[in-house]
Formats: sequence, structure tokens, C-alpha cells
Amino acid sequence: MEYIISQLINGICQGAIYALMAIGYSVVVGVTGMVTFTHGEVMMLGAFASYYVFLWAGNNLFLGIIASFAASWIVGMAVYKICYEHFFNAPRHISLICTVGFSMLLKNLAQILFGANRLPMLNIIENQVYSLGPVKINLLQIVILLVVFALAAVLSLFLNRTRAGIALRAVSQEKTAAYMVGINVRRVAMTGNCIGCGIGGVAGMLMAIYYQTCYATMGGTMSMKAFSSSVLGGMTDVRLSALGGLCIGIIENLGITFSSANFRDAFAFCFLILVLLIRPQGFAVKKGARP
Amino acid sequence: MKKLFAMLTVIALMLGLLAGCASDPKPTKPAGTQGTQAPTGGSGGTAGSEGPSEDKAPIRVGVLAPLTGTMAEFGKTYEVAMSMAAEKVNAEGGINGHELVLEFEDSKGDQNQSAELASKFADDDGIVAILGDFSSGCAMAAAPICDEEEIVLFSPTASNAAFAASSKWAFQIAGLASYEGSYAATYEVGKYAGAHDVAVFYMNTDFGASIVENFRPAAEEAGMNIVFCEGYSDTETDFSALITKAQAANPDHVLIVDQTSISNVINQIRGIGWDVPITMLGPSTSQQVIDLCGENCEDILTTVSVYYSEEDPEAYAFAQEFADRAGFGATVMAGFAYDGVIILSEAIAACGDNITRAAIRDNLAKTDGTYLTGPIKFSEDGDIIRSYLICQIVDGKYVIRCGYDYANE
Repeated sequence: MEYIISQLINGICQGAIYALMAIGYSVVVGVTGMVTFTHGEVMMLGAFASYYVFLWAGNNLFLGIIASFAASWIVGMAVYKICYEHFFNAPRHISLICTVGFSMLLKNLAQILFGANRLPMLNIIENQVYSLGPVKINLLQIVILLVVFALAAVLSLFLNRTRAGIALRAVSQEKTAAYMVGINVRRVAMTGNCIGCGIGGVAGMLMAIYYQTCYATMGGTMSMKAFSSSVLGGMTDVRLSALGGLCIGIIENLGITFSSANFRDAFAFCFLILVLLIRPQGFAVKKGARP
Repeated sequence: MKKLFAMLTVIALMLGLLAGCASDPKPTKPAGTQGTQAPTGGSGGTAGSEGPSEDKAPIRVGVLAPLTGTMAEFGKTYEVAMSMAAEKVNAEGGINGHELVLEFEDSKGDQNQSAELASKFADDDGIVAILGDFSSGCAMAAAPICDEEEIVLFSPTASNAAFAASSKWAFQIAGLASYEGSYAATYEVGKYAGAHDVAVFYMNTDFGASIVENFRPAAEEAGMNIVFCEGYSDTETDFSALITKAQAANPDHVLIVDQTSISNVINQIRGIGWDVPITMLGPSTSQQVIDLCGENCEDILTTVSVYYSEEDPEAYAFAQEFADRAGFGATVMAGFAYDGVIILSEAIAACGDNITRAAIRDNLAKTDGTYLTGPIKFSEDGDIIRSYLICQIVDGKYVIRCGYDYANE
């Protein structure tokens, strides 16, 4: 039993990181209305930004979060300028291919700039194991869960309680109508995209801390998981995307528990396909529904 | 205006990328000697060089290496170590006066790509032999093509026993994974560490699978129980589920067979507060593991076939220069790659003036000498059996625990 609980905790922790990536992803997709495949690289650059901050300023998690958020925000601006801005009225696949190309560019640039080898991110958070009855959880996992929940709460407050957040949701729902009530759609879309990317950057940092390494190709498989999580949550719904991420994390880890790690991705994607077969709209209430 | 800005940004990024690419996988040749094949983006200096004579055509050798992709750090190892070897050959007068030019192509660690590039090299009559690919899987994908086209495919780092055996044109010097697997079982984990219940984590690639295939019977013969044995894909980053599962099997020793994610596995094992003894194998042994794991890798056991000790000045100087150029420490792979170029250039030199692909193969098969990474003499199949040292990480350094003859003691 304690074995299953430990595996559940592993799953929740990994799911939390997926959730954070998916949150960023669904903000981007919601506000721009276009699918992105650059998210993995945005996360990777966020991780590198925090790596250098930790190198210079010591293991200050708060500074790391700010640095990764800011760096990914800036990258998000470039992504927006290059991949979205000119294609709002073009067929969707054009900006999609553009993001695919841009992600390769960023990945290779990162290999040139930061080198191809893995960089260590050791002991950013002290390695300490707590036992709660039969269950063991380490400080790293606790911190990651806390950061994820805190960020999700802040984002939720921002989206629901502030003027800018409401404008963002309006753009996400209907661009033309938002434009008609006097919202600067382009600026809001850009800000929203940057917020999504910034959150992705923090997710990248957490991943790098959790796995204690940082390298140029780290975004690849992770962005696929972020994408599937947000598909599971109905693409644009932030809360449901987070739930999707958690589900995928837990399913994967339980899958490994009962079979083999070779099938990790198979479990994640089979689960995704099953859910989509039964509910094509994912967890969302109805197609196109917004919070 | 905005459009212009965006386009300029894209163009600037592209140029940066191209410049970066061009400066990385370039053929190694001293400035001033313009070969028949101009390197992409090369600038061609004017200063004369003292090395090989100018009027003899350069000898071109193709290299398959994963310069980008998840194995890029090994591609870099290839590039740096092989370039160093080529520079040495050229500084000593080249191959019978001909300059040696290595032409690197990026196989991205992808088997299809590797096979395609091999056939591209084979179709180019100017290429006399092919070095690489880095991984057994890629090398084996390229082997049938080289066999058909009758050109040498010499992978310094492939360790799968089936690679060299598959073709008379294929050669390998890394030592066989089959032997390393059983050595690890009998001597490293068994005799030295005295383990009873072993958990095995392996990267489910050609290398990992062939080690485990040979580890298992040898371990059972040595009286050990394998209580847990699971593979994972080479893109895996999260091992927590596997580790929890292994822990539940209650082993007294853990063997990790990996090349790229070894530090992740070690860090995550220690991260949950599990202080089980850990053993790894030759291909994992690098300074990088120590850098990436810090205290977590203390006391870990490993096998190495090559050790760049200060007592061996040539090897030590090589390791130092490699580290300077590559920005990370020399692994055994670096030595193998270096030796690969030296051995191949000797085989080419032995052809005299009549350099043909067949003559190179025949001379390569006759190789018998001692190189940076030890004595090398090919078997019938074109592979070699290496001896191993057992090392342990103590205070952030590899310390030799057992010598090459531990197996005979």
C-alpha cells in the first residue's frame, strides 16, 4: 500500500510540473487562438536563465523564478512577433509550421550558445526526506508542489479579478467582440502570450531543479506532454488543463508501477486517446466553453 | 515597420545559426591548404602550412557523428578528439605526404540519417573510408550499406558484438558490450562488491540491451539474484516511478547501464534518500557525472578500459587538451575516437601509393599495436576484447580499485 502511495506522490509531483506547463500552454493557445510548438523551447530557455541566476546569485529560488519568467517573457515576445502577429487572418497551419520551425531554431541556437552537454543544477533545494507515517516525500517535491499551486492561484486571481485579466479572457473568447468593446486585441494577445510563456519558463526551471540538470534538448518530450495535457483539458481552459496535466502524470506513474517504463508514453497517450474517444472536447463542459 | 523588424530578426537568427553550424562541423585542415572539397563557410587563408605537401591531393575520410540531437555531447567528443588526431597526423607529415581531411556529417543520433549519410559517403569516390557512427544502433544501420558498397565503416565507440561481426567491412575498438556485461556481473558487482540481490536500470537502446543480455546469465552463474531489471527509453527524464519500484524489490546493489541520463538516475536515487551501493559501466565514466551529481555519486563503482592517469604523460596530455577544447572532461569515448583516426590513418599509410577502399580494409584488419587506449589487435570479426579497471569515485575523483588483471587473480 505504501508503495502505491509513494508512486502516487511521484505521479502527483510530475503531474504538477506537467500541469504548470499545460497552464502556460493553454493561456497561449487561448489568447492567440493558435497552437504552438515552441513551448518546449521557451521552457528550456527559462531553465537556462535560472541556471545562470543560480550560478551568479546563489540558490535563491525567488530570483530564479523571476529570471526564468522574465527570460521566457522576452522569448514569448519574439515568438509572438514572428509566429503569430502576421498570421491572425491566415490559415492556422501557417503559424503552426512557423512555431515548429522557430522551435528548431531556438533549440539549435541554444546548443550553440550553451553547449551540447548537460549542465548541473545541484542542490538548489536542500535534499531532505520527510516521513509522514509510511509515506516518504522529499523537500524538493514539496517545494515544487507549493510553487505550482502558488503560481496557479496567482494566475487564477489575475484572470478573474483584474481588468487586464478580464480583457485577456475576453480576447480568448472572441477577438472581434473584444475589439468592438474597445480592447486593444493585439496588445492583449501579446501580453497573454508572454504570460503563458513566462509560466512555461518557470515550469522549465522547476523541471531543471527537479531533475537537477539543464540541457538544450530538454523541451522536446515535455512540450508534447504539455500539449496533450491541455488537449485533455479542452485546450483553452486553464484549470482543466492543469487537471489534465495531473492526470497524465499520475496515469504514467501508475502505468510504470504495474508494467514497465518502456511504456511511459504509451500510457500517457493511450489515456489521452481513450478520453478523447469518449469526450472529444476533453474535460471541458462543452465545445468552446470558457471558464 | 513591424514586419520589417520581424523579418530582420528572423534573418539575423538564421545567419547566427548558419555561422554557428559552419564553424562547428568543419573539415579539419590547417589554414592555407585548400582541398578539392571546400568546407562550407570556410574562409581559406593564405599562409603556407608546414605539414603535408601542397601538391598531393588530400585523403578524405567521412565521419558520421551525432553533432546535434540528444547525443550531441558525444558528437562533440567525436569532433574534438578526431580533429586532434587529424591535426597530429597532418603535423607529422600527413599520410605519406597526403593531407588527412575529416568530413563530419551530422547523423543526429538517428539510424535513418546515419544510413543515408553512409550511402552518401560511399557514393563519393573521393571518400576512402568512413569513421563512426557513435552509437551501436546507428553504426549497425549504416553497416549493410557500407558492406554492399565495399567501404570500411570503422566505429571507434560501437560496442554491440553484432556490429563488426555483421560485415567484413565493419570494425570496432570499444570492446564488446557482451564481454563488458559479463565482466561487470562476475567481477565488478559480484567479486568486488559482493552483491546478492541486484537491481538493474538500463537504457533501452542497443547498448543497454546487449549489456543486460550478457549481464543476466553471468550474474546468475555467479550466484546473484536479479530482483529488478527494467529498461527505459533514451529520452526518459523522470525515474522516480522506476526507483520506487526498484526500492520495493529490496536489492542490496544497483547497476545502472546508461550513457546519457546516468546523472539523472543517480541524483533521483539519492534524492529520495536511498543510499544503496551503485555500480555503473565504462561508457558512463566521465568527469561530467561527477559534475552533474556532486556528492550524490560518492562511492559509486565503475569499470573503465582507459584511465587518463598522470603517470601516463601522453594520455594525460591528451585528456588535458581535450578538456580545454571541448569544455568538458575526456571520457573513454574521446580516447577511442582519437585512436580510431590514428589507426585508420596508419592503415591508409600502409597502402602506399595505391590507396583503394579494399586495401584500406585489408591493412586495417592487420592492425597490431599499442595506442592511447591500450593494445589493439582485431579478431577475425573486426572487434577486440578489452581489459577493464574497476574504479570508485572518492572525494569527486575516480580512484583505481582493481587493476587490469583482477579477472585473473
